[in-house]
Amino acid sequence: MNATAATEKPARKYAYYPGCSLGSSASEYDHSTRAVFAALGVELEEIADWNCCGASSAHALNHTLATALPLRNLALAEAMELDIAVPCAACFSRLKTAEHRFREEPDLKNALREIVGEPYEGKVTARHSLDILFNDVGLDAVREKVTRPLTGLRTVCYYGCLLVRPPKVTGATDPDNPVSMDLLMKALGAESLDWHMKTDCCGAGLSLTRADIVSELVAKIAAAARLVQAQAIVTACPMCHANLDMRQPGALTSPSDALPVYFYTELMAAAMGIEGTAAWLAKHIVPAAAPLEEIGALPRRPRARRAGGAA
Amino acid sequence: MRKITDASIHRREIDDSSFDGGFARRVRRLGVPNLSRCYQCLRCAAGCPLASAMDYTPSQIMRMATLGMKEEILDSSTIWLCASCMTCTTRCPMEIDVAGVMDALKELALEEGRGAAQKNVRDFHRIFMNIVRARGRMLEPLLLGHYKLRTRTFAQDARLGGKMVAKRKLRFYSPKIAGAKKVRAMMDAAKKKGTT
Repeated sequence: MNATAATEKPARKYAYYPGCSLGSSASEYDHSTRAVFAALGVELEEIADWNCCGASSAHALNHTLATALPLRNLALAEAMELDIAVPCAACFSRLKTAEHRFREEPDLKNALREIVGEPYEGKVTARHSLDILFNDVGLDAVREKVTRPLTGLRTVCYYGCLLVRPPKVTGATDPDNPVSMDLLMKALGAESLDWHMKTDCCGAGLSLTRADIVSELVAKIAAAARLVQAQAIVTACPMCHANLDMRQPGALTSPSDALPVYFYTELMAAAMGIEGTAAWLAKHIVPAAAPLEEIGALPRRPRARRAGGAA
Repeated sequence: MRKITDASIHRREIDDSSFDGGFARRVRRLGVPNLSRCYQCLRCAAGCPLASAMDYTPSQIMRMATLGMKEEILDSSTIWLCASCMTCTTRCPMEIDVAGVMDALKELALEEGRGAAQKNVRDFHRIFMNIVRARGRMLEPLLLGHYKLRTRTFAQDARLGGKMVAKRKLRFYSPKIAGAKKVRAMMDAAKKKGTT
């Protein structure tokens, strides 16, 4: 996705910016990302004292602040001399936008230096963790680690908005038809189906305030996935996941039609036989363990336990 | 609110007093210097996934902003319903950051104490930033709690909320970061820098 200096040498260590959602509602994404990267021999060092990037409200309130908040995190990573690995698509977008503005708006650059107070020279850059897996680690390295291939699992990859748009900021080479997650699913042994809502919007931050609109968009995405007979939707964004997983049952006329929604790292962890996968899946609202148990990627749970088994 | 349509513009139902001459300049200064390059190709409106819920399409807002129709814009639902999906920004043939225009307009609406058209969305953003101001990071249960108290929407999503708690989807405590003070200072400095 991105052509940066880091892609030329086999960099194996990154500053890690989990973001706020991954500490709470999307903790399964955080845990699976850390586990998968560790298994692939990539070191993630969490940025000490990182702050909220402001998504998705700072840019509604103050355009200078919306750039300053992510820029402090970039400055902290620059002090570590490491590019940043960002699993959250919304954080990724804010960090990339800050980089872009810092580069393109000279007036703002000086004001920002003053406001942020930490030196940032643009020497490090933010990378989405999917981009790092695809371009730096490489799918061959992933394939080598697969012990329980997801053979027969029919997935659709949902990239959403902020991973790819606007390409000027994200560096996405094909914002209408990204393929990195699809190729990753194939490397895990799963099927990745062609569908038409790869990069459509789920309503993002309107989830709480305009649940009606979000439900409508989620229903459209779920219908498109079912149209190609997908069994699961795969995402790379905690907001997409929250909307699709939590709003889908309520948005469909028949809630039992809801498709499980996985983070790509959860499916990697399952295919790589990483322990803890079942516990992460238990946090999902739409039951997510069964399709993986059926294909033998997860050991079957004893029947006696309550469905979901969060306790 | 008076609804301005293309037809009403042609019938000259609106006069010069409807326009604020300095408004477009204020928008341009908030990160969208090329606002006035819009030639109404309507690609932003055609691609917008939220357009059906908006009172004006993004393309109409673009024209209205260029003309300085401040009152109508600051009272519109469109600016608050933009989900920043960046489809318009990506497709604009004049490379105008249309989603950035929506952000600039939200900022101006807040500055003038407006935004009644989508009060809940507006309040959500304010509560969100107040929490970041206090803690340096977001803590989701605080956001949900404050939002529910402010908007009195307790019934909405009550069952889903219960499920989230049962599945331990929310973390109820995280320490304030050491840089919270720094974040607050940044917020004050950015505010002082002002918008116009």
